[in-house]
Amino acid sequence: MEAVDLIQVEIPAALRHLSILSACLAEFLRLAQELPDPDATIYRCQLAVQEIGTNIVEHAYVDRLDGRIRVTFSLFPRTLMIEFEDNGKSFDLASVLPPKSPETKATRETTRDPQIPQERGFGLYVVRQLVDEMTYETGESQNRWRLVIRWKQSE
Amino acid sequence: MELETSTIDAIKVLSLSGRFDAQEAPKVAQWEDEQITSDTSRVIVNLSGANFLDSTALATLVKGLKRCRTYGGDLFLCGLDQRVRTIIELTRLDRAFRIFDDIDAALLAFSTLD
Repeated sequence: MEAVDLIQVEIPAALRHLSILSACLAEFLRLAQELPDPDATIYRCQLAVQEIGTNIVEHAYVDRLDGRIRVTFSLFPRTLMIEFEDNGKSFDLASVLPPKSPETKATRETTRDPQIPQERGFGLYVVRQLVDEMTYETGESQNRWRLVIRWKQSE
Repeated sequence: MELETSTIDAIKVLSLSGRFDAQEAPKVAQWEDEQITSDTSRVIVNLSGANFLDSTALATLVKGLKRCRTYGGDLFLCGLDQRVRTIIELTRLDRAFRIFDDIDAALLAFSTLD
């Protein structure tokens, strides 16, 4: 299916530039028709974009300052697809374990206070909760994340 | 992001406004390292001015929570709007933090601990 609308943004791979993606996405999604609860939906998409962008900066380009991230936002009827392309190090998605919830047995055994959770490792877990599809492909010189977010027709 | 600190009844109140994300989180981490001590381990982080919170920001708050509890205190959150609350609920960390509507409610909760 051909996208109804599409924009492409390329930014330097630096944390300070990720807010540019947030701003672009917000403006782009305001063009979408039938977006339910626009503020909440836009925020959730921005959060997913922030987490993938941070992952690329901190993992793919961990030892490089010249990295670039190309992001394509494609709008379909009631669907947003976001693709990230980078040419940094590949990422082993299978190695990412879900975070330990504060109440799990594992947490009780590894911390003195059962209510104190782990500090890191929430990023991709959060993205999985926010989107309908998350895929990651790595090639010889390029890595590609793809997120798909769908929404129902607003009443 | 702007940071504003005050002290009320020996409780440190850190008010954050703007975008609290991976770019800005080191400022808060540094504040925690400097301000959370054995003498000052009761902290309220007021997020009423924060309009965005990502997982790195959340990790920084968890680090502060741990540091406070190590010294026998606690770190309370307050003033979260529903969007900022999203990530805390998705990670179920709303069960680890005590969350209040505003600074006064958080101060009252600390006073009941004595």
